Amino acid sequence: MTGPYYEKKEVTLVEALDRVLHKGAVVAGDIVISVADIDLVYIGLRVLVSSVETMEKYEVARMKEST
Amino acid sequence: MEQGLCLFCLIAASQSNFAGEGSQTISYKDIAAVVEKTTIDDFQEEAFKLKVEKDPKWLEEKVMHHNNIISRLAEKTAVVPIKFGTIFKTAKSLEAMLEKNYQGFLEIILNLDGKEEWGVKVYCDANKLKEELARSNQHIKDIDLAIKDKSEGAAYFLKRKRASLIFEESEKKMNEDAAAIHEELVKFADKNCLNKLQPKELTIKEAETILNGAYLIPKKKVSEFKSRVSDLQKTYAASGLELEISGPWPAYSFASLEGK
Repeated sequence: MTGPYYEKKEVTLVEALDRVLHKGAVVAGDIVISVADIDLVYIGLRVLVSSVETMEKYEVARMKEST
Repeated sequence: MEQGLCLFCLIAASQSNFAGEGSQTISYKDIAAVVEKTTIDDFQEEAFKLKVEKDPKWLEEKVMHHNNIISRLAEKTAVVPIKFGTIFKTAKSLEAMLEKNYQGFLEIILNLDGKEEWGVKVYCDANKLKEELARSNQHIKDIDLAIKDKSEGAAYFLKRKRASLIFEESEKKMNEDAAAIHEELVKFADKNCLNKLQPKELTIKEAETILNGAYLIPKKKVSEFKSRVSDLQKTYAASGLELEISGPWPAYSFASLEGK
């Protein structure tokens, strides 16, 4: 993530999760799943942790390559 | 295993050809629902909870799939995103839902045409803001001067007073800045909505979120909107604020029927 300004491609998963799970039109389906905030914290954290890890590994790999 | 239909979004029936492979559409008059066959069993409450606990990745994949289908369509046409996890047992019961909400959804689809949702979050680095206040707030500067002349005991109470004053002033400043930024951004938006501020644990930032706004922007105003966000970033950087823009999103925040 570079700087405060980012667009579509680099958008964090958390942004997407938040919208998909909590936004969108609510209609009466035969089954309507409701994913609570606590679940989002759980998934969100996991996603964050894994994406940060991946990014770090990538950085390390790149640094090794360049030396 | 019982089969059902997972509903992703609604589009104008005339745009049904954009629904990609794997999905099918079920139309009622001018509205088409984009759906996919799914196993109902996984979505019954208890089974769903168990499945998510055992395999969180499964939910993550489902959620991202939901977003991908909607995002891809939104690049081509006006889309009303439906909340994740809305399942119909039969096409007939889906049609009944469309019939019941027909007018409302048709209006939303027509209104979303040519518009995009953009998100702007504002984070505040409270420490930076407090330093800035110590430099610029006359009341705090006066206290700082008074502290210098006092004995340690007397200074103690002044320091406490200073701390609570700084806290109050920084809260006030954060609220004012968030409101001012929102007011600027609303000028470009056809509709806007203030979303819940996410708890710190959910953000990558150390800083506090002070604004989580969604703005429905006509496509022809998007570049102007984006450059306004950059300008605001420059203006507020000294106060410890960071603006984060995301989009374009399908209109998740502007899809609800009136009164729901």
